[in-house]
Amino acid sequence: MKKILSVFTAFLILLSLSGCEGIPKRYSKSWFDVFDTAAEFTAYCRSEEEFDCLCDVAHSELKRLHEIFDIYNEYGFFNARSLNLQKSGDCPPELCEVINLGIEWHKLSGGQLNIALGSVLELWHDCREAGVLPDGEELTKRSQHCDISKIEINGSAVTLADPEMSLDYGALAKGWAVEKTAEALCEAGAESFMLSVGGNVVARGEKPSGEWTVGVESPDGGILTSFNVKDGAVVTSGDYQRCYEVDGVVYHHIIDPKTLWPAGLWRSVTVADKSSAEADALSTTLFCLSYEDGKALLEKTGAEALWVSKDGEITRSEGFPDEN
Amino acid sequence: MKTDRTVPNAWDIAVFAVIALAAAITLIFSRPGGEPGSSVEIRVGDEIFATAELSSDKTIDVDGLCVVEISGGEARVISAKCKNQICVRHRAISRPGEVIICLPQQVTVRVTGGPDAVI
Repeated sequence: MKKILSVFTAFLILLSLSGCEGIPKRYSKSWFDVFDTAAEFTAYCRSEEEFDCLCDVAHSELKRLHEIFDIYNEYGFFNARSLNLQKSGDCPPELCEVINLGIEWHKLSGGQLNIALGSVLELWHDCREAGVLPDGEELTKRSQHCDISKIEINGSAVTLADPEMSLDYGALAKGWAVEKTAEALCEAGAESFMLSVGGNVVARGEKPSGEWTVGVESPDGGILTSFNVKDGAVVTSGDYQRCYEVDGVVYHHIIDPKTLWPAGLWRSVTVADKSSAEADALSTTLFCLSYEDGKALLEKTGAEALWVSKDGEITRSEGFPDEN
Repeated sequence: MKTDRTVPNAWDIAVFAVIALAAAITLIFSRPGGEPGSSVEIRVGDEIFATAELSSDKTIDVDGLCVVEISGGEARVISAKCKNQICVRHRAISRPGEVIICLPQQVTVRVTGGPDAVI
């Protein structure tokens, strides 16, 4: 009898260990209507309803922030476009925060990251759409209206003292928005998820099988390296996305404020950091800086970076996550 | 005091069998659902349009939006209706996690498996 009991007990113990309350399943969803890129949300949830609920939270937050930072369209409230059109109105607190962050980063990066570069970037944007190169004189002319100190902030009233200037949040807003969306998801009870919006990735919690993994694409195909991310962010800036060709030469979208032309030092720079807002700002900045200057800037933050040079050589900062 | 036993009796085997069986059941049922395998997944918007083995040789017309060719263990977009043709210019993909996205038409071609996200 004792022996029958022991067998029975063994079975019961094992049954309870097998997690009868339901093992979370992997779900994922993509969106193509935010930040002019593809967004992907993956989470482990106990039911499809739970996942749908989280999708609503993520998508509505991304969409809301997209509309605030959109410099090409207006949506019936004062947004980034309204500000560039020099309209008067109350700046949404999110926009004020990112403008302040931009001013902070301008100082920190020694002028390398400049949200006031809007008029130059606008010309590049139009040329990219038309498949032509910008006129050098026009670029120089526009670069005279990129003085970040001309942004005047008075509470929620923001004015641009130079009527020719415009702001562009391309180096900051996406990473900042992904960070905010991750916060909203955590508040909504999400425990294990990954959100990727055009090169900006955040991971929270763990998968049932372990930590989330992020792969860095090699500019020439394949995965260069992949590593684990625990409650952190990874952002890559590369020359192989958003590029166009004129007379056989490929021009990409990251414009160096020093030369007003696409930066030509690196193929890609990946930044691993606690915050996706900082990682986004850093990856764009490092993309236009030499390794030495980049490393000096990196040391002012808690972030790590991986540089891929023009000839495919990889350099990692000391604490960059190990390959998994 | 019992004598030393070196040969397992029927009960020992029974206990062992139950533990092994339960462990096997646990393993089978605790595998996270939907963990990626290794094939090509084509999505239009958020819906899976087709899945195909990377080792197969086939041409898939994606709802008239674009044409995906799988051959020689690689997948590529050979033609597309979009304006920018970025997806057609994209090199062929073959390794887990690699993806070709046609943003204007919301078509995603992905080699499943590999890292959770590729940037």
